[in-house]
Amino acid sequence: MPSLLLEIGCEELPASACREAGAQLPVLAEREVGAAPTHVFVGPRRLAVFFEDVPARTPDEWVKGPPVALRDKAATGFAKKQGVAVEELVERDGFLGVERPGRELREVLPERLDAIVRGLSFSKSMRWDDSGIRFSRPVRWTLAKLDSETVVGETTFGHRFTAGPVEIPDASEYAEQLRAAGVEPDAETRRRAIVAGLDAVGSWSDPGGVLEEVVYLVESVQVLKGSFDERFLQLPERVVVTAMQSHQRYFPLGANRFAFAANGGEADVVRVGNESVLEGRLDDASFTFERDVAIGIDTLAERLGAITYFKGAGSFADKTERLRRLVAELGGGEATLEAARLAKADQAAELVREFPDLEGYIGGQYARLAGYPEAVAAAIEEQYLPDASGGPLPQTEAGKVLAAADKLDALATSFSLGHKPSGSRDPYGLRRAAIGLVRLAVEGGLMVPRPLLPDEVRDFVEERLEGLLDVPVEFVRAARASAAPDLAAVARLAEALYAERESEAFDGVYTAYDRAQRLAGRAAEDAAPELDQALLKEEAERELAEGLTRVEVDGDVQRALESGATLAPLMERFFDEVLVMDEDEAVRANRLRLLLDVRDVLGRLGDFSQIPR
Amino acid sequence: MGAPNFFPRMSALAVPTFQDTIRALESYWADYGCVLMQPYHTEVAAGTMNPATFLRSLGPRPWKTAYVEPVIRPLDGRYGENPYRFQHYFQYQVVIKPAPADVLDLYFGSLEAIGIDLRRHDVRLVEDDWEQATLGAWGLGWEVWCDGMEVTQWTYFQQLGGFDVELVPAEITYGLERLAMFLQGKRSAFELEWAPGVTWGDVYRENERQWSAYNFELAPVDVLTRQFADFEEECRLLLERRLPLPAYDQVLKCSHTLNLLDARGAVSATERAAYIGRVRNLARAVAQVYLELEGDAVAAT
Repeated sequence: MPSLLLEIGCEELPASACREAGAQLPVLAEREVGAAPTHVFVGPRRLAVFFEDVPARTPDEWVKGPPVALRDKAATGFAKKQGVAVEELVERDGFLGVERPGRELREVLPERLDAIVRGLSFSKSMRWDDSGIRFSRPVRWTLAKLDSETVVGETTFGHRFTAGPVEIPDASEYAEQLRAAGVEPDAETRRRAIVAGLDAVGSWSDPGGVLEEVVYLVESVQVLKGSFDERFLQLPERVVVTAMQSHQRYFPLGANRFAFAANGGEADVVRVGNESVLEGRLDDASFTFERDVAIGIDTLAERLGAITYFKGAGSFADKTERLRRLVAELGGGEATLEAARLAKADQAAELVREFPDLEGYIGGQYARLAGYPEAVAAAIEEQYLPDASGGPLPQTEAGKVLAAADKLDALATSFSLGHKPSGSRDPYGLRRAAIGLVRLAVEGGLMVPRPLLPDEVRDFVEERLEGLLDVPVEFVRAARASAAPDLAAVARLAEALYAERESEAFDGVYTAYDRAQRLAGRAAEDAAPELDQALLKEEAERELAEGLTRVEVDGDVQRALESGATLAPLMERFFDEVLVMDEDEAVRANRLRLLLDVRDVLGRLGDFSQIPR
Repeated sequence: MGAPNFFPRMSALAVPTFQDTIRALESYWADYGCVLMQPYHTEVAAGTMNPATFLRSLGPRPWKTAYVEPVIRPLDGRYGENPYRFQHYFQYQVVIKPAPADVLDLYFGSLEAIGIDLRRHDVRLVEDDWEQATLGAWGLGWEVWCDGMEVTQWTYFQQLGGFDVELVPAEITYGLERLAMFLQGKRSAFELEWAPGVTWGDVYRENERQWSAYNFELAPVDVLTRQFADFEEECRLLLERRLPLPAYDQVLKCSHTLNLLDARGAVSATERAAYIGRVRNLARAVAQVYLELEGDAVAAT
């Protein structure tokens, strides 16, 4: 069977478009060609698929039409639609239809390649002529080689500036010929070459994750290193790193050195140019930094009224007010309140307008430079932590409180505006905020009172516990329904219930809760509003009522379970000796109330009906 | 579909002055067949806002133009203290409508024409999607890097004034200072040689200081606020008379007035969004009437 190479030549595609195309090409190519591609090449100027073996003919097709019985009514229309005469229709299994013999692959390739071009979809696309094609950037050539035969186009093209048209003698020689013309068409090979080049120049880092983009910014890999004037090392380190990474996609090598991947050019010329650009950026950042510092963090904080936090959620000044209230409610002290006042000041800083990634960090720096205590500066710096799953928590107490307040406010305002995450859509990063909040409570030991969270937000946040704790979800759900006063207490309760699940005390509580709930839960509307001691006629029910008053479920979970379990024998006797559904309506209502009270007191330890037995 | 050209190696030119570079671009694009326009007489924040780009890019008629545009961005002024930020600097603007298949090669040819040897340098196209909310406009394209220096913004317009373009234009916006810094190997725009023996700083540094003082400290907020409303009203009256060209000038004046108010710190974020919405509505209304007249004109021929 022949081999096949299809290439779509483009003007420089963005990295995101390359990834989208790379994900779609295998399926799309297989659909159009009838064989799975052996290799997919993705780069900024070309998308290509290579097939080691393709069927030389497309399969025969049977286009099924109307049933034979409807020949008079429907045959003419069907034949016309298929572009054949009525007499050419064939009968098969009681239906009319058209037999389409397979065609030579070379005949259909032009339309199949066109279908692939049109079939690729991008999250952002454009048109550039009247072909009706939408693509991420203009498509400028296409090429199809069936073995050595050129079926579509003429040649491919090598490196934009060092090579011209490139003949591909045979489909299988595509990559080889391009490599000779200064182009590495394979993304993975480029990635390895970049990494190898970086390894060769030193100990590099990539905190901003630009490597994935750089792979699609070059067709030809040339890793170079450069350096900048040491005076810029006086800038806060993250300012320097951000200037390197966010605009220039450089890789820091430590101190005043950096590396980058170029797409060509003479090494010395390109290096000097890039050094000069970076120094310009750093010089500009220094100007901006010094201007911000001269203005001072207090004055910046006063400007927050003019900056919108979120459409519908007021300005950053409004946000600051809410943060201060939340910090107070979370028990934050003087330093935390001060940090809350200044937390968003850097939103008014020019440097953050330039480098949004520096928010928080640079606010902390400005607070230090203005002479605020370290606790205040550190809290400002840590307010967005944890900012990645498994990322570090704030180290300082003030930082934890401020970080929790920030997440709480983000969640509460977003939910109140109807911006709730749905499915995989979470444009405001609310899941991350909720997980962060839960981790601050559970791992960071921060007391986050549950009543501080609006109902919907509380549900959303506590649902995160289900994934975070190493406990079956039923126990988490049981604990969420408890009276535990704060997030960490819910987590501890879930863990404790799970740890105690085999104990006698757990069994006693579980049984008592379960029996009370089963009998009275569904008859709740018939129960008396309050227990009436005078209506307790039987010894067994008086004993249960009295036993209930001795039960203490708030506090240590193990002791609480033991205390709750004291009701088990009383419940047993109650059910043996007392008929709940007494014919006297008042007595019946009182007994239902007693059982509901049992359930509710034990229910402060959790909703045991969530836990299957 | 056209094929990219192959560029022969060029010999390095002597270091060009700022005005040499402008002349080289003028001559290159004039030779290509562009109408060489002159800067517009009303303040614009980008060469795109010049009617020679914004309005001419709408409608069914082909158009090729090139011109220098001084761009006025009050908020970006730094009193002449920061050599990277100015409230007044220069773009070289080229619009080719419709964009021919070899338009990128044409552009690279212009870089060679001003003395950039494409084989010695690392010239790259890096994704940059362009959007201009005040004009209801967007397009896709790149920033062009020469050895890491962004020297051009490149855009295929898709919508202007909220209308899909009929013929897709390519817009090529050279940042003249950055380009000249690259060509002259200078770290500061003030040090650029404008003409032999005269620097960019000699010509414009004092201008930066004085205009920054005006933009940030002295521009009269109450007057500007009234003017915005007056320009808006005038735009509507002119559109009723179906005169989109003078109406468009009112849009530009509104936009510049808003930028001044912004520099004075006189508009909150919410107000700013509302102002932008008002300018966008005007731009859309102008584009609509302009397109109607263009349609009539084309039908008449």
